Amino acid sequence: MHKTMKRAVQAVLLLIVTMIFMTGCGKSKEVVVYTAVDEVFAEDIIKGFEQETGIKVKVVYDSEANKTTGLVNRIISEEAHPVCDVFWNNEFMQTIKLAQSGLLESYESPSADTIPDYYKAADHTWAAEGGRARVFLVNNAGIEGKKTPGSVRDFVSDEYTGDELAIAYPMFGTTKTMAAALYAAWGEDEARQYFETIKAKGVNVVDGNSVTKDMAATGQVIIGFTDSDDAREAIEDGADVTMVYPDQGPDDMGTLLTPSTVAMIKGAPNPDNAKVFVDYILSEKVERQLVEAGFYDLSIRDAGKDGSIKGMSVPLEDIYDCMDVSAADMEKIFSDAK
Amino acid sequence: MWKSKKLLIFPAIYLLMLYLPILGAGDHVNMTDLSFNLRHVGLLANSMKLALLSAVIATALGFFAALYIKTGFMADKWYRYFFILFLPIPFYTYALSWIYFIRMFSIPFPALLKYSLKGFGACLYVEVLEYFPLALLLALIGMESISASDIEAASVYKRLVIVVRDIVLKEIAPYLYAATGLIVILSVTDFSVPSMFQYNTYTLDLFSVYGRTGNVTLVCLKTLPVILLMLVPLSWLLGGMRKFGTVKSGRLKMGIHLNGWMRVVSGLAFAVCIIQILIPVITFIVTTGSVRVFADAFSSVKEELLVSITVSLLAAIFGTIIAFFPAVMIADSDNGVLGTVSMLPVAIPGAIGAMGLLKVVNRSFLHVLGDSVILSAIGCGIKIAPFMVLIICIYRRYTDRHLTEIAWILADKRKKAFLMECRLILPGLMIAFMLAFFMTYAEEGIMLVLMAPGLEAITVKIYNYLHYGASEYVSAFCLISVGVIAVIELTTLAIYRLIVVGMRK
Repeated sequence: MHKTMKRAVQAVLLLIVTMIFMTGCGKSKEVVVYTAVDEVFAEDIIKGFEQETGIKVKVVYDSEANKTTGLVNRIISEEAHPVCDVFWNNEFMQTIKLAQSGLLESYESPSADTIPDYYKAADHTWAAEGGRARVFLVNNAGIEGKKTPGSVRDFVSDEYTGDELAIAYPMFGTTKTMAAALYAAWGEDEARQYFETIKAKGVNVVDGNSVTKDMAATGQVIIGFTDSDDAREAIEDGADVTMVYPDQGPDDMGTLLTPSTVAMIKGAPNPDNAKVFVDYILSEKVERQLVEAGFYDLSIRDAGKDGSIKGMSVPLEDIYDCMDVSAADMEKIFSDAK
Repeated sequence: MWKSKKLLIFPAIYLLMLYLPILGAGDHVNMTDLSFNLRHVGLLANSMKLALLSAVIATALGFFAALYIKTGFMADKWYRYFFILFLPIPFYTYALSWIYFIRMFSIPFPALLKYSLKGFGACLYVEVLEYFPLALLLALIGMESISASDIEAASVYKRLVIVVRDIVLKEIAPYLYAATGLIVILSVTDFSVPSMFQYNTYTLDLFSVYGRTGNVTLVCLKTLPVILLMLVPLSWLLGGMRKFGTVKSGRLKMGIHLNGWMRVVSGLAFAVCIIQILIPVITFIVTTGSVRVFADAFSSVKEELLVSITVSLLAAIFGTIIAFFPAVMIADSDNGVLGTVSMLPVAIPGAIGAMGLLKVVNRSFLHVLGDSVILSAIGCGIKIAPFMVLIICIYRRYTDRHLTEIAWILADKRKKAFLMECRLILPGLMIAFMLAFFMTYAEEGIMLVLMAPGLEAITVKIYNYLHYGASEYVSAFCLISVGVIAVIELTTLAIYRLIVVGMRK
């Protein structure tokens, strides 16, 4: 028995060493990427990059519940010994936060030449591409007999009850960005009032845009305020829904477009490979590929051209500047015990 | 031997490992951020309401299901413990299976859609199913310590209800207290279930504060009210542990015949046992749809499975190493202070502790650990170590002390006596090891924070895919995960039987 035990322990130790080796070997030609881009989309792009360049990508994904903030907090906590080479974010606010904290490296990617200056940091610490829009996902059966919403303001109109509407927690992700954008566009008082109305109406405030999408797709609510990529997914799944871009009239403010951002981390362990990766992600080919896949609504290289979706004209930095105030308000309004 | 002052180094290491990530983050905190107002009281009340109800229902179901098993034909069968199969299954498996279940039946019956999961009811449903196997496990262990002859003697003179109340329930009360305490603690410190079903709790609020500020110290300080509240269920847990029985039944089947309402209630509880295994398995098989999808899914999660198994194995080893000595000391000394201090960190949400660990590690030469699965394993091991202390402690109390004393008298070397003691509590160590393995396998929050680049765990993968929208691949991932767990559980059971039978011989 004693010998058998000894052999069993030796076998287990050998197995563990082998497994650690298998799960952690190789470092010469690699790049470490932290990404908040949905895993189902990012996977294909990363595979393409690996095949094209031969550089192995080690990825850390983030989950929907703490999207972006989890990775940003991790990058901040790793400041003394950076692990990440490239931060590929699915929005811009947290990237600007990292830039202002001095955690990003300046790199002028040749792929970014065709990207409008409006979507690039002046010091080249980050660049944006693609874009998802904030949209209404309207359940066709549920909306019968009611007016289809055309503006963000319609979401809080008396046309719909709170039970018929859903939105993700505005303390996280793109809904948090949307809150800051409305603060920047309308001013603090009007925007705060807007979200207080959402709360007072008893709108379903849920964990993530995908949950909002599911609720609209299954008819649990009539209108879900979500991102266009989630809305497209519902349409592709055959749900009886329509995607509506709000505020597209000639005098309207346009909808919030959230571009993805790419940035190199200061002190990145693999700076050369990081540059190759940034060039690849910012390339027009990858941007179009992500538009094709439905992750982006549009290429920002097309911004302003006829027929493209009208976006809000508020500068990204202004939206960022409103974030602290709006985030604190959202916390206050939506963290109340139900 | 266990009273030697030199050995105090081990509980010291254990406490250091548990408290350093929490206290060592060293973030600056403004006193104004530490406000505690009526809103927080409401959130705490929400947390406690969910936790207490989940604990009471799960424990009651566990008790009656165990009673059904221990009085029926399965009482002495090796597979009686297999009903805890889903103990290591991540919570969202239940949520997802329910969502699929409703969707499938909503095609012919659209009215069913309104029963989709949401709010307090959804959290309660998922948590009861999630913690039910834990309650069942403790109730089953408790019932095995009841003397069969006592029950038979009482059954001659007393009615069934009185026998169950005065003997069975009285004997296993410490186990039920421990189960209730443990479930309350696990429920209060979890934010993933309330987050998924839009039910605001204090822990969810802490996570939101962390997301906004990234301040681990602030969040830990804000956890103090939870820690104070958790002293109550902790006292149930530790109080229960101290009274765990030491009499083992000669026969495994309890000599009573269930009838009347008790038979019905026990039967229903056992039905829940079956349902909580069958519904997920059947729905996942149906929604996976084809062997091709299953094969594709398996091919795309091979690496994630390997990562999860490796991290779980390492976490279990690490947890065993740091939990062993404190567990034995607590069991032998009845030291309430050491017991309480050893268990307190369970009130800190795992992901927050993990972020503290990341900060501490990144400030030292140990930052290199972040490049491998080792850091994830340490993070999970730290979270699970108190539970391992609990299990080892229970088994140590079961151990016949005369045998250990004889070992120390007869052994010519201290090492031999020590090894003999280890072998006597080996089954307990194995149970703790496997519990740590499975809890790590099911862990999502800590894995997410400490995951090394390129080394994603299966739970994180499923969670990410699930949030993007339920698909046949998510079903296949869950099915694969359940299958892997079942295979590991069966293998473990076989090894356990081999070793325990070998030891008896």
